[in-house]
Amino acid sequence: MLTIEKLSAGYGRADVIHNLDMKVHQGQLVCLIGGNGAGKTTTLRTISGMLRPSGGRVLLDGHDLRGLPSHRVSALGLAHVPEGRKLFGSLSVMDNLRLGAFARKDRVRGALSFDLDFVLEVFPLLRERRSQQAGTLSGGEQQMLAIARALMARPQVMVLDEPSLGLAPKLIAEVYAIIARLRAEGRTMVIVEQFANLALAVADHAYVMANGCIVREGPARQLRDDESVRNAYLGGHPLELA
Amino acid sequence: MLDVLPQVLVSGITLGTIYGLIAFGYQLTYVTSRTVNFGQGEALAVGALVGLSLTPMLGYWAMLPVVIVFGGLYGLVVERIAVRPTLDSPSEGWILATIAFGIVAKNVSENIWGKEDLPFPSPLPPLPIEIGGAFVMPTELLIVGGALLLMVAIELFNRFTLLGRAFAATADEREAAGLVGIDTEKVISGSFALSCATAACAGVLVAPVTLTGPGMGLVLALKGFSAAILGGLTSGLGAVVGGLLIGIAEALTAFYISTGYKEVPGLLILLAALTLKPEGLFGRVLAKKV
Repeated sequence: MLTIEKLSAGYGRADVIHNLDMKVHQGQLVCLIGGNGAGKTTTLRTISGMLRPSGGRVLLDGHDLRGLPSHRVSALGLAHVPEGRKLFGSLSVMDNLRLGAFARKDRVRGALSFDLDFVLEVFPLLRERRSQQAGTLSGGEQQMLAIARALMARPQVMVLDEPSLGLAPKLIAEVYAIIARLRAEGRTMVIVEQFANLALAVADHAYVMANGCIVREGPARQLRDDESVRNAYLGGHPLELA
Repeated sequence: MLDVLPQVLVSGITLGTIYGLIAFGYQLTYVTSRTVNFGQGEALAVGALVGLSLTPMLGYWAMLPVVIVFGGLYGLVVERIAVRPTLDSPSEGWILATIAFGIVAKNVSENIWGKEDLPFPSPLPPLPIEIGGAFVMPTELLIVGGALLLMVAIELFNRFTLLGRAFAATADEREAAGLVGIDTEKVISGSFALSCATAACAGVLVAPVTLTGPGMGLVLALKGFSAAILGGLTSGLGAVVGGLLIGIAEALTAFYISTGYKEVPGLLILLAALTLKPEGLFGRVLAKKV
């Protein structure tokens, strides 16, 4: 579904990520873990067209995404939930959801209201707050809305950047419960996460990044049980959820 | 003395609405791109001159939509030539580039229409109507009504259409707007088109009470900019209120003190507002572009 080949990218002249190879199969949840500054966010930004690669390529369902701006990548079926949510803060919750479907070609009423009903069922809180300004939501609600907005695009692949960022442990657990539910429904997802144990618990496959390179990969279950992975690359700060 | 006040207010409101319409145009591009066209005055003048030339052919009312469309095309060219090349670099080159574009437009129009100011015939009879103790010229009603109608139409588009919401989304979070599939470069071009369309429309509306010429927009654009700063560059309502405050302050000063001082109170209000509320009366603080 999503194939990354020898991908390099960075800001200015210096590359931040080097020669990455990754594969995400249909229906798989793949996580990308690693410490602060390992290049995880840069990788996602390059995949979704916010950053031009300096080498290599990204294939989405056979389409070469190289050099496409993010609105074109989005139209091809990749939805990116960015780090720090990046909601349209002055717009209502409903407007954020409607705009989530902006790039869709099947703009028939039935299809949109079906997806709207679906996200409001997954996130019942958003139904209560649908006419509220997105910027006035709490951190947890904002993260829910950011995921809901991406789901409205009915994406082939959804990538999530640090969905736990800035949230209290109880809310992180809620967000991950929803991610687990989406995975069970067969959605294809890529998650970047600093708290490795969180992501490894829900993922099928995992890549470990350090200094802009992929240093380990394997089935999530296998990496989860591997003490050396935690000690060497993940800074040994597992987040315990109650 | 007292019964003159409504009359003074009428002329203040008329001018103020025009300042407000120009300010509204600055606000449209500022929110999407954090840039404005400093050649708005020339866009206004060119709009008025094109309208003047078209009126004998089309008649006044059919000329209006044509001028608005012309203003939109003018805005697309301004954005493409003077703004877009500098948008993704950290430079503020658009400031000089939009001023330069305005100077070129002014010179071109001087060659077409000459440097002399020309009279612009009003479509309405010069028969004053009495409203609330003041005599109002039909032309003044047309200015106020036309400007408000255009602004309301743009606000409705912004609030109630998906495309309009895409403009607002681009204003809020440009990167995220791209991620949901909005072509933010097109949105910014579109906001310049709307902005120059309002300027061109302001030009034809105001032309019957001023004179029409390549230099007619300079002072109007400055006042409009003050109005935008006063009201807050991020709020359409602020633009209108800012325009009205400056227009009324000017008219009052011109009548009760001296026409020589009519520019002073507007600028004093502006300075006071900037000191006390730098984001403007209705503005909100926007995240800085990183």
